[in-house]
Amino acid sequence: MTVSRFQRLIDVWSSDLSRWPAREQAFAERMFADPVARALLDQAKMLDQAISRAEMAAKIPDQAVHRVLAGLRSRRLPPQRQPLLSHWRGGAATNHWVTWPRFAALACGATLGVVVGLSSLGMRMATSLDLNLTQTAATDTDLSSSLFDADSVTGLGP
Amino acid sequence: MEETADQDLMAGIANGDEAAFRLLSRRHAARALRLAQRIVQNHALAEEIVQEALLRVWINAPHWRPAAPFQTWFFRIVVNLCLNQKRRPPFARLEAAGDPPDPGPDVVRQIEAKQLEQSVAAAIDALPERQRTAIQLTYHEGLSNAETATVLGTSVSAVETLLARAKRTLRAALAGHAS
Repeated sequence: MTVSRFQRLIDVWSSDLSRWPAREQAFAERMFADPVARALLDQAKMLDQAISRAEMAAKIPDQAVHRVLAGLRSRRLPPQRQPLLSHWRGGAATNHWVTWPRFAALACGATLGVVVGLSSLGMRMATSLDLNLTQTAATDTDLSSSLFDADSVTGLGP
Repeated sequence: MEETADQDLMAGIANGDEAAFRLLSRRHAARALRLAQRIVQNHALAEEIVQEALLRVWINAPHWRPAAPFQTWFFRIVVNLCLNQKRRPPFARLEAAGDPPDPGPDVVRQIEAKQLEQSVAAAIDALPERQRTAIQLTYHEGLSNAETATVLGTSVSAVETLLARAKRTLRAALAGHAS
């Protein structure tokens, strides 16, 4: 269990013990008494060196970097995404001739929304009031008729 | 201007300074290319990705906040673009490298070291993308596990799991080479 934990720590923090958290370094030092742990560390050092060398070997040719930079130079840079709040923070003051139509449109839209919302609310209230009155009246009148009318299928009276 | 910090260049780029953008691009293109190349394993695609990542830096510069180093943010863009693309070419086998010529004793050791390096490189290339990226970021780019977690958009414990799995695979490759 302890050796497997040591292996896990080597895998996570590498064979370079200076990269380990302090409390784990103390644990590592205790583990050095165990020859199995020492062997694991030696093996991990070899692996880490091989990984580092393999990474070093993966060199990027200068031409590739030049191609990327030349590609950027050759094209026109797209417009930047400006934060929405920049308009409120001063952009609106300096570019008001650009931004005011947007805010005017936004204000008009908001006003229209409120007006439509209020009017539809009023209509809905009026409709529901009418409906309530009609239903009350219908309940008063139709209750007897529904009780005493002839059956619609058989034609028989109650 | 060459000595200007990334953070200051980003402030200029946020205000539309193209010269600052060119300088920042020159500064980070090579490392980004190496990272992208490792992940996508395709030179042309890596170049496309880095170019796209740099354009995103330009476009989104006004939104950037110096909470984390620029490099971490930029690597995150590169890694996301790499992981989002699906056109991954087949893995080239080590056998394609051919056999070495008849060597002397010292040369044998060099060749063995070279073959070990190639075996490990091939094993790294064969790792799942996220494991390979974690190895690349921690070993070559020198990022801490916490920074790697930021770049990958995941937790530190998830990065630790990625590294542990990757190392297990690479250890097996190394053992296979030794035997």
